[in-house]
Amino acid sequence: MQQYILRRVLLLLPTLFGITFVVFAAVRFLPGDAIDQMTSDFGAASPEVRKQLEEQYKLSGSIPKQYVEWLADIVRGDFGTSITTGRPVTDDLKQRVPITFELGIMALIISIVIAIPVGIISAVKQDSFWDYLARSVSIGFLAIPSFWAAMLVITYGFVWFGWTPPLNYRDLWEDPSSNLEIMIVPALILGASLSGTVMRMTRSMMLEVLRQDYTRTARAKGLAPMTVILRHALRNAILPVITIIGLQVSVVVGGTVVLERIFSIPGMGSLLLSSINVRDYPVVQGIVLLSALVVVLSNFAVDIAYTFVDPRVRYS
Amino acid sequence: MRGENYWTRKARYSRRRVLGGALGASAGVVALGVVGCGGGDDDDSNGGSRTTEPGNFATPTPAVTGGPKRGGTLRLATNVDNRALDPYSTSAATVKGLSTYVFSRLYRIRSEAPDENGAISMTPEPDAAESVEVSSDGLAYTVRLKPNVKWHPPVNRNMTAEDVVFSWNRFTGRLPGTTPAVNSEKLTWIDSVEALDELTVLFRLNRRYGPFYSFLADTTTLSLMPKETGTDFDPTQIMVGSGPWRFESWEPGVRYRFKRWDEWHFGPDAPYFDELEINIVPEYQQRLNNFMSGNIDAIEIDGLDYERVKRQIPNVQAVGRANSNIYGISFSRVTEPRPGAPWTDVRVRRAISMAINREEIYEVCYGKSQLEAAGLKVPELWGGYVPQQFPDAFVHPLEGAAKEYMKYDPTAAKKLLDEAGGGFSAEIHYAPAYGRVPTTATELIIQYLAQIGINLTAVEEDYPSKFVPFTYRGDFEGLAMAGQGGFPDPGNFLEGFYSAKSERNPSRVNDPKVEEFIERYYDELDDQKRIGIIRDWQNYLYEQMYNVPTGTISDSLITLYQPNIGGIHDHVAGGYGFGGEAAPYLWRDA
Repeated sequence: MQQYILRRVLLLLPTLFGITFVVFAAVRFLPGDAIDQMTSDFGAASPEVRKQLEEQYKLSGSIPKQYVEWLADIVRGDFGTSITTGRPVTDDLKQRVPITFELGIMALIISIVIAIPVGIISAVKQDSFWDYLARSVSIGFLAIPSFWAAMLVITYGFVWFGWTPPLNYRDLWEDPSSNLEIMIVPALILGASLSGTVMRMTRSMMLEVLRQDYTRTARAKGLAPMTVILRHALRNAILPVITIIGLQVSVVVGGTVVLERIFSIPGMGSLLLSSINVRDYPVVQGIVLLSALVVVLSNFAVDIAYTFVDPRVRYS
Repeated sequence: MRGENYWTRKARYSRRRVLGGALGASAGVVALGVVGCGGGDDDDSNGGSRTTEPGNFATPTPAVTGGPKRGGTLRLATNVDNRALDPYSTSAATVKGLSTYVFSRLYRIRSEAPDENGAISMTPEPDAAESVEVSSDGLAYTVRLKPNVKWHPPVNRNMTAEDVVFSWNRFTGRLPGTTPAVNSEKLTWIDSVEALDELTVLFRLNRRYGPFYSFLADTTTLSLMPKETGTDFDPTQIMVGSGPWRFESWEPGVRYRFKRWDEWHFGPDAPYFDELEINIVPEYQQRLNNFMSGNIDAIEIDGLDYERVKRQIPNVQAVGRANSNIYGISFSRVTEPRPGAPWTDVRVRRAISMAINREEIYEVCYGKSQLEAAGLKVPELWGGYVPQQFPDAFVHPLEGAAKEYMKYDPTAAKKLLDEAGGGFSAEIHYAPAYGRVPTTATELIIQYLAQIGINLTAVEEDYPSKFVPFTYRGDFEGLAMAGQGGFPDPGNFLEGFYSAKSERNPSRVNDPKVEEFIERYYDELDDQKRIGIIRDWQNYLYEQMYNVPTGTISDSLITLYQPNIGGIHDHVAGGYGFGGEAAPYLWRDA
């Protein structure tokens, strides 16, 4: 097991290297650069001013040279300096990452809490009214974009109920109730959106497992239905569901971007959006790299989790 | 034994049965796709808040009585998380607007009660300066500072001439380790800025510059900073100025907070609010909801939402303002007649102008009739060569030299176009980043011109990467929708768009007469004579029609205030100067 973990960690390095390359190149493909953005309100900058600004913000030199310099900084833990604010990118990340992390975790928990019980019920009561209802609702969750749902909630929440989210974000440790008040609605929206896929996978796997011989044997032994479902059927059905949940992490990372903007949550996603608009390369690169790292590590964690859920899975 | 068990007990519905039921069911889907649109409905529920006589381009304030009162927090909202506190670090207009809360300038634009069109006179008045002497040749301006202009903590001393020189050197990148502010290179007509004594600064010019006071009042240029900037404190982390509001904190992505500066040189009464916060709320609907909930005190709204807000807050106060920018159709290399460029014929440009229904654009974009139905008398909104916010300089299109070509007359337009060779096809370049109103106007213009035989293909361009470095500099073929705004002086608009030396000349106008106007305008030190020159200049441009004015860029012309906010009518600011020119004079009625 330790050998497996070590091998996976070593395999992460080329993956991360490849990610840095893709991240660096991707932002450079955006039309325009930070200098264009900075000068756009007064017309384009003269070549002299442009050259000065490029040197100031480390945008001069060839692209490969810029990449190598950036990579060397990353290895030292230096994500660079924001072109817009002049502040270290790590300062921005330290402030914003916990907020997005909180939103993401809440959304994932909500999606699991909704999806797994509903998936089980849907499978157990296959072809019943509840099954059709659950499947229809899950299709709805899959089909409706979370940002559109968020706009409807913002608009009609006020029109019908006079509700509006709190104006200012409060930190969880500073004011937990205000924090939850502002986070719960976007977490519900994102969690509902994620739950569609998980629910359908849970249902599908449960249906398969419920028809297995060992399930019939368990029933025949006279075990209570809940025991059969939870201890025997679910445990065998859950493995692919864990995989799906791991893959949802990337959806969460992307989903928070627009939701944070709509609900005025100062997380990583809203910073990414505003940084892309002004072509603040160091910030964009830092956030995308960090997000990619989170996705890679979470999938690694899912692989490790298999060994705990299914004793038959052993890595050598 | 056959019988019911747990697995077979529950009722089952076959797929066929369910699908059949679903098809038979009514749609029952509410059209929830329309989001954030106001717009009127037929419900005449305004009741007592509708007046029989529309008022001025503002509502009276019956709820606010008595004089200014001290105390409280003014709560504003913005859609932009600036993230840059140093006004010299970027050209972004939003940073300039933020800077006016904290930084003084030598001059400022006098905030006033606007006229019935929402325009103020845009008169520069002394801010940190006490007086200015001009040399007889107009090449030297000696500025005497007020002795009581005090810097915010941690500097905590009075402003000196050295601080002004420092600010200039920082702005122009003359200090070691600094780069010029991105718009400083345009100020080539200033040779030097030096301190003569503790409170006296000398500006030496290499050419006469008539609107010099407007330059000193421009929020996009010389914000005054103490010479300790960059050494005793980091300007990227805190803002230290001498303006009415002292920087308190910036919570990234959340809000900016300011406290009243007790030693402001225009005090001691103002600012009336003790604190001011600018909340960062990117989504318009959220800002609107928070205003209607009473969480923020002011908001710029889409005119189409006014009626909805008035239903929620019957005594809401509205202050309209004249447009401060211009927008219109530019033509590629308009002064170079060549095959395939029919717009180089002035008859074609005049025909285009007559084909545009500007009143309809106004109605569609701003909901003029809805605003009037809700009790606001909305002024005529005309796009000329100079914005309406300069009432003395503005030449009304229907009074100018080409008034017959500014009236909507598609029949005459078609006739004139046929005389000039008939219809044609071309591209029209535009930048959606300008906003909802300019984009809608572009769509309408495409339809108007199609009616007279000009078929336009819309080319959407990213503003900073494509539109500004290329189209805005005239590097395009066909037509383009371009605009400009935010200048404190009307001459800046005309020079920018029509001078052959300008980086912002989309039509690449190359006309010696225009250069002559520029020379005369800036050479003239008398304000009234300069107004005469700029009016002649506009009439010349109306005759040549190098650009066809169509309207404005602004998405919003109306600011709404809560019913208990006072001072909103007497102090309307020009340009970006709300923070220093209007906000200090607002108060909350208890």
